[in-house]
Amino acid sequence: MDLDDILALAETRPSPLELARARRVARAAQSRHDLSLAEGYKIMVDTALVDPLTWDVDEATRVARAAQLAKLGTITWVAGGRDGLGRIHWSDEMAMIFGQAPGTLRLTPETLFGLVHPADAERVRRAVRTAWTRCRPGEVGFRVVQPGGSIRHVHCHLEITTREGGPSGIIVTGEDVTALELARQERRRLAIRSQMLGADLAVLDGLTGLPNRGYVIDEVDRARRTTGGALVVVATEPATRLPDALTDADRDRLTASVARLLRTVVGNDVTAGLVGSGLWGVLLAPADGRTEAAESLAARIVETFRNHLFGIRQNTLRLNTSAGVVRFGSGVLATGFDLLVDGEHAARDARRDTASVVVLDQPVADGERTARCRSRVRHAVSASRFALYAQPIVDLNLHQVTRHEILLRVRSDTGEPVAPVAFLDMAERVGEILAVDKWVVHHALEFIGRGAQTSHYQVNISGKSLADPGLLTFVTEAIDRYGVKPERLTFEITETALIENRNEALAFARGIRAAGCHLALDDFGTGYGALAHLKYLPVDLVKIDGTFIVDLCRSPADQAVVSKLVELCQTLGIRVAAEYVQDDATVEHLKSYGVDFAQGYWTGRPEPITVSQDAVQTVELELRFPPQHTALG
Amino acid sequence: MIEFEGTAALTPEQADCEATREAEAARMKAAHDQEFAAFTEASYHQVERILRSACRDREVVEDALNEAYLHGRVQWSKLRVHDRPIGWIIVTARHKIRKDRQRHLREAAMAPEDLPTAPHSNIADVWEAQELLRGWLHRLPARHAEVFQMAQEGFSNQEIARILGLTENSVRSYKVAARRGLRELAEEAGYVAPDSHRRQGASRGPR
Repeated sequence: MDLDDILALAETRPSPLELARARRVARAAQSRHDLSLAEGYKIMVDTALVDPLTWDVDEATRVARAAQLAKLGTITWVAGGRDGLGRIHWSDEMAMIFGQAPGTLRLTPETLFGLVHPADAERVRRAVRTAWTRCRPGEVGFRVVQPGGSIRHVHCHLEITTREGGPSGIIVTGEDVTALELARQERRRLAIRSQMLGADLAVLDGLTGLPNRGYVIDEVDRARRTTGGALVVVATEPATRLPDALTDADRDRLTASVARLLRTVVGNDVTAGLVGSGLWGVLLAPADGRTEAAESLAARIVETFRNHLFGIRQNTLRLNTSAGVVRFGSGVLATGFDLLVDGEHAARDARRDTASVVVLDQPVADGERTARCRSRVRHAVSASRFALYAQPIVDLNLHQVTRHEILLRVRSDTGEPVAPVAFLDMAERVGEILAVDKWVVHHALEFIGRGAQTSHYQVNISGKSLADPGLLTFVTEAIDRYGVKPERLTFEITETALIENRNEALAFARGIRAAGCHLALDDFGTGYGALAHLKYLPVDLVKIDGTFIVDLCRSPADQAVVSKLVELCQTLGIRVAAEYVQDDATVEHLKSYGVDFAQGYWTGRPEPITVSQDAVQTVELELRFPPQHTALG
Repeated sequence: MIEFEGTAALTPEQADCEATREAEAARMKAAHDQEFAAFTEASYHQVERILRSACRDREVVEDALNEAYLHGRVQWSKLRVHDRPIGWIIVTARHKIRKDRQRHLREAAMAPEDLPTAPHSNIADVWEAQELLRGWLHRLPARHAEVFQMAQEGFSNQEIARILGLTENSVRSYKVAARRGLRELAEEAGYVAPDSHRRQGASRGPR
């Protein structure tokens, strides 16, 4: 079946339904007509009674008249004439569309095109020329600039008039379509917007699919402002030391399987998230309508986790598990973060006392909590419960590893190095991050200074620490002490916390660059990294946050953000790095945008570097940076 | 007294005349009624199909048809001598639709790109064929759709040009463009002539 068959089928005599409708319309017209006669009123007919089929005028007049009825403007151009330019004339409606008083303008083709928006004039000329030379109708949309400077959207049909068998001119029928055009643009914008609007990836932990720490803290915060409730924090820790042969990927798989198990225990309707390394938060609000008390849920989770054998590589592993429960009423002053810390402390207490669950009936007093957090951080620093890792960074122009970022890992109670997110968050919030940053700078520079300094090293410093006036001296002294080449150092300012003191931050930034080091903004695009920082901070490198990169190949919104950010940075003289780069396809995108550096599992996972002075090791061993072949796969 | 004089003034002849005139008028009206009814029955489906080819809103079309035919009845004594009264009906109904549209700015609220395309189904009867065709016509420019539907209803190029207020040159172009557009839409929806299938098959087959 094709178009002709369908046309043949559709083209028929009137159907019974159509005939019925015809009779109904005829009867209605008849009876209303009769009624008007009987009651002596007149039905006004506003259409001229000329027979359209026999009206004897030339084509242009006829079309112009129809347009006038339809409240459309017309421009008539008749070819020929003495100068060969023809005669041109517009209707009053058309003059008004162009914002001119009818009859005031002597119209020539040139004055007419002069009224069209300069950007559209050439297109209009072309449309007219095409219609005339090919002798067929056309249409064109354009903007006119009215005398007051306001701009209107106009749409016109161009038609060729014929006289004595040959083309005799053009008649243009047009109307002001500004309202339609704006509505169309708005529709298009909304369509783009909804297409570009992505899920908030930043709230989900990439590995486990569970909400991340920030999300859980926000949810707890909401609960304490509304219903109150209880927060369960579960701490898990391998019962035996993990074999050194385990890679990061193995650890990730373990975390993911714990997350799955947690989901099956608590169900899908409860807010449960990964709130730190080996730390899981479950929020119970009374509004959930759960009958199960927080305490028994906590006990159930601990029980299940303790009894579960987790598979890792070919081995099985048990997790030492304990839980803390904090109950909180509605309107408590403790924030979501505070409650989470209380829960974590309760879980630690439970582990220390070899209990399953420790329950707090109310949040801990502020002073007590802060003091405990501070002492934890200080203890960690003084006992050097940290490890430094290095992750290779690939220069995308050279396609080789030219840099390394020095990353911090915190040792857990069993000595296991874990990601420091929760620890750093806590340290930042209780104002102890400076000590951690100083530890990192000290040990990282010591390590770098002892090596051959063939790479370029990027060291993290919290935005909060910049407020300390002593930091700059501390850093420059460490550079001198360990003989580090300053041009081989970049300090990355992480902005999970606000830059606390602009003036000090600026002083540090200028000082560190005067010393010859570079400055980078980390996690740019999320958190507090404002565009203003690019303007006033002497930044050399911007590291685009990984949330824009992980889904880059599929997300047009991410592509837009990254490509435009690169453009902006290039304009400002700033180099760009991308984090969380996982595959070749992403790298191709990044290269096409002109991103300078890539970092992520594609370049290589972080590997431990040795910094301990106590363990005497050879220089070669210390310089065990990830080899380049793993970096480039 | 005036009444009396008035009555006295009526001569039997005059009264006779009056009665004849009235009878004549009544007979004329009856004849026009009949004529109009026949005209409506013969023309309605054509006008409706033409209007609906360019206007999506069925109710608007119905309203316009009701008004156009009412006006047609009111002016039937003049319309009946037109070449084809259907032309005037179409002009009037289109005018009414246009006024309605200007009042409600319907087009701003509902744009072609927002509308779902007609669902593909097997064409079993006339009604389905018409609906399918109408769906495609709505995706063409309004001028193309109207010109095409009028041509389908048997109007000549000149008649179409005069009724729609276009030049004849345009009508010729629009007709060709409409057919091309429809063919594309039909092929897009999977209605391809069997012989073109065969051609494709042949080019892929063994030589």
